[in-house]
Amino acid sequence: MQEPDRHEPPHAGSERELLETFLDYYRGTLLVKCAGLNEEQLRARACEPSTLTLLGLVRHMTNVEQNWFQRIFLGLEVDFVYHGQRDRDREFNDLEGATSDQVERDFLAVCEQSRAIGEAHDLDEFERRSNDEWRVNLRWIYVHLIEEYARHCGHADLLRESIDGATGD
Amino acid sequence: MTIVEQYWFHKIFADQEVVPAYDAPDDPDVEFNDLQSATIEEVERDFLDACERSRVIVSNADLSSLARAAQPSTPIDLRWICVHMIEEYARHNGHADLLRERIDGATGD
Repeated sequence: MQEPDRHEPPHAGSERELLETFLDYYRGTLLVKCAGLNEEQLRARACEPSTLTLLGLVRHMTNVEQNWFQRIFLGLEVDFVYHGQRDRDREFNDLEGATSDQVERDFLAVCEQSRAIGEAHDLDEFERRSNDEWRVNLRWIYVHLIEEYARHCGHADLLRESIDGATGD
Repeated sequence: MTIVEQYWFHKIFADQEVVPAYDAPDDPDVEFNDLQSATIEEVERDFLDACERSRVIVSNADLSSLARAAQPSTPIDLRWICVHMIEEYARHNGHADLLRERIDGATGD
């Protein structure tokens, strides 16, 4: 995987500006943690007993982006990039299906779809997924994704440090 | 996170007098490294006190108001500080997830 073009969020700004730039910063951070490693390192369970891997985290966030922006917010039928009937956590566990380049391409494509959806809607707009007592708005989805990325980037920090000693934001 | 709360909310945003809960002239990472100087109960109490002081500061301010002790060349608003604190906690909670799982196997949000 390549080092991404990552930009620090501005230190002051509108709600939308900060939510969009922080989320983009963290999409980039996950790729920074993967950059320069080989296929075996990206699949290493480097913090056992945890079964997490760097490649599994990128695959997981691909599904997470699709789930929140496409399935929940827009209410679409979504063909998830990683799906499996027998294994709910297939994106974490079945790492043989695609090369890291393919995983990276799918991740970037899904993020681009999310950006377009986010930009086209108001932060106060509620999700369209029905049959749910508990409805979230686009603002909640942005904040949730920032904290979900950040938490998984915390996992990625320790995985990367175990793999080759690299640390940093 | 106790001194992160003190730094961003108490010092930089509110420009209050702050005595860092953990401080040593010769070790910038003293809060990570010197774990013998206080009991767990004291650490928890200081953390909860710092969080409570932060909550009071935030609840009385507008998210667009600027940090009083930031460099004039780089204005920082309270909205940025709040989003930054969410991501800093979340990232360290990711570290805590793997530490805890290794210690006793416990996992979960």
